[in-house]
Amino acid sequence: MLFNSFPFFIFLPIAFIFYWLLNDKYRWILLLAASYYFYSGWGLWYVMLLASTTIIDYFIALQIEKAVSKQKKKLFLIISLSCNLLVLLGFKYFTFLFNSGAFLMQHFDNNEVHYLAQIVIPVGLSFYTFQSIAYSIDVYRGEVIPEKNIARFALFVSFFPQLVAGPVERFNNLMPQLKKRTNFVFEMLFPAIRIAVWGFFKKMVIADRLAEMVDPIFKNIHLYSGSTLLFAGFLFAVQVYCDFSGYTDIATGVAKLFGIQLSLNWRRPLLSSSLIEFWKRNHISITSWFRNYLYIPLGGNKVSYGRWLFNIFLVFLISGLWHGASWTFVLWGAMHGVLYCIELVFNKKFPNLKWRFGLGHVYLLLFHTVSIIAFRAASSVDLFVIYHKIISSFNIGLLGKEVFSLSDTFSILFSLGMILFLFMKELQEETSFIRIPTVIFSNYFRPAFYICLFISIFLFGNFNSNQFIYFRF
Amino acid sequence: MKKIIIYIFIIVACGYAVREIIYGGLRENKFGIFDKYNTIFLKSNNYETLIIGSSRAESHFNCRIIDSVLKTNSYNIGIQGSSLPFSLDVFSAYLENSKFPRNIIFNIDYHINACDNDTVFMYPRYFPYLSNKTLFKALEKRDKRFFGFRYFPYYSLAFMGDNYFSAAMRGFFDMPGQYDKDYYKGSTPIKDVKWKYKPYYACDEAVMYDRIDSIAAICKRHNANLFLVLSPNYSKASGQILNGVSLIQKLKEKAISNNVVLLDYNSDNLCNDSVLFADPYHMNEKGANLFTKKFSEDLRAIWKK
Repeated sequence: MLFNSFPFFIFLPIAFIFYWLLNDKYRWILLLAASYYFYSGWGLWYVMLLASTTIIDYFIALQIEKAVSKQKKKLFLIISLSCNLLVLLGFKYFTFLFNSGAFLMQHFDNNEVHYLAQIVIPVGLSFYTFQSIAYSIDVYRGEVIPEKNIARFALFVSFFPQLVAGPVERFNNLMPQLKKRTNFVFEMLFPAIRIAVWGFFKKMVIADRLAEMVDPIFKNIHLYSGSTLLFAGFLFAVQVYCDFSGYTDIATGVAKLFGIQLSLNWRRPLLSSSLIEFWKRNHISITSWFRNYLYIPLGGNKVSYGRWLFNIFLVFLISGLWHGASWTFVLWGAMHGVLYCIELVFNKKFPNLKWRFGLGHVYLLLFHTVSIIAFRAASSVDLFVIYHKIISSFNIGLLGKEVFSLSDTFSILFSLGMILFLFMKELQEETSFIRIPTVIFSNYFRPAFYICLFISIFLFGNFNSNQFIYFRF
Repeated sequence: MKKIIIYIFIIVACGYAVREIIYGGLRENKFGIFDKYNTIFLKSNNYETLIIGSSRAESHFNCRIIDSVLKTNSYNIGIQGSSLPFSLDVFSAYLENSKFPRNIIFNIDYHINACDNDTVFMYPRYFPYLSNKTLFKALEKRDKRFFGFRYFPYYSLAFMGDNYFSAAMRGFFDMPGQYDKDYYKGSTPIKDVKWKYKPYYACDEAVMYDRIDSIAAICKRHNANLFLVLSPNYSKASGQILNGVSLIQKLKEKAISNNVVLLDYNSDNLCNDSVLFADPYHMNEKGANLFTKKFSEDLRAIWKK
């Protein structure tokens, strides 16, 4: 069930009303049933897979806690990790590894090889397996006491607002809230609706409209000049941000309706002035996951300087692979890893050097644009064609002509205007450059603003889009 | 609680207000498709000659030529994607505000493979005109959602999108859109597209013949002249209609039994020239102008008799 689908608009009010009507002792049971019902919209097989990994992780976590010796604990942790990673490997990476092997074989002996078609990846697999892995490791480290009630644990893994595209929640943050008994107050509705409306706006008015410009360009890369391809890369960067952060905002708003506060996942990353800053603001839940469960176990910064840089590079490489089973994603991770390390070295050499006149922002946006093309390119070959065209056939004169041939002028100008609107909104959040007296702001300006956003969703939103980009990860 | 009720009231009121603004803008259009729909469904007209049918009627009958050859005041209410029964429903909706025309030219789409269906092509186009009771009834019969589209503003707005918003703005500022200037009294040429055709059986259902009977009876009651027309299809595409010959024969018999004139142009030389066609079933501007001239002269000869 998609957030921007008609069934969800029926499902949510029903779940919300019954949740608050029920005795607070049983609310979590309704939430569990609602979560599984929500996920069953994608298929019963997916539900079975989710239930199976939940059961395995639940029992293994109990075994980890029970085990007396460190070795035994480690053994159970390895079993848990193996189970989760095997599921990920089987569904997400098997085809990629097989086809990469087949490609190599073909080059060694010129025999014809057969490539496998991509298996359909269960929606949200990367997210909930990472959440379960984090739980097992936390139990192993003694940072959390494992949940004794299997149904409650199932709710932790499957809580529907964040199940399919995060944020990847830590057990210590989500579980106490799921257990806490709260009373409904009308005031909790307003922030929930506000954040959800902004999420829907970002997704349906900005991201989905930009997709209509971006998709035809990347489908026909040979028809467009390098300047248009680079511009499409920039549009795609904004599209991905609005798509994913829009999803997170909707998830956060929906969770708030049930009295749950999800962790912050995005903090205006496109306003960063360096890659290091970007990764402090971008996809925070997954970045902190990689820091806690990969970077620190690799030694963190308590290793030699060279090894430290290598660890960072490795984390980015694996993070690229997490985003998608393709060499283009690995390349994306490598680009980020290399530049991140360069920035670290640079900062060490010139600690007082500061970017001026917004140059840092331009540098970050340009790099992000160039690197994110790897997310969108259909294959490695396409990616290199795009990069080659950006370098060899960069013609700014063709940009306007090619972009305005995509759709009618109003539509294109409106979409570009929406990017400016997003920028202004984020800048206002960041710097509060418009100061409005609190009473006027909260009584008039803010409600009027969100009512306008709400109407704009219906006026300019794309109601035909049936995908969120991050679902495929 | 009070605050929530106020917000809900404001949101609902804004929904109606925004929708009315957009509909207002669309109804203000003096060019193109919305000007045509305004004429058909809202305005009070007194056209002497009316052309009815689907996109083939809309594109094949150029009112400028008809008016000049026949010295009449004509209008083309042919509507893209409409089936034969829906074309007649559009005619009924036209009559809600307008006078019954003296001459009705009814282009029969015998080539389609289903006489009627439950979907309405580009249905958001009709949203601003649902106050036309006949149109609303016809649409609701085919698609139950039209009740929601009429009464719930956010439901209809969700299906419209920014094209309608920009058309509404054009309406307020009297600015024609890219294709709006191609329209003349409801007729508009079709641009060339890629061709594709394969053998099939065309619509041969009772509903088609019943509707011809009913419109013939209505015309007789109003003392109006009805002319059934089979405008050109590209000859090679016509050959793909496996039951084409028997169907045309049945239509001719139907015309005789109703005592109306049927003009069949499917054996005309125009049908053999692919240059005159935008696709197998639609003539392009050049073809449509040649056909309209020929048809108008034929009709003038009949009128003289």
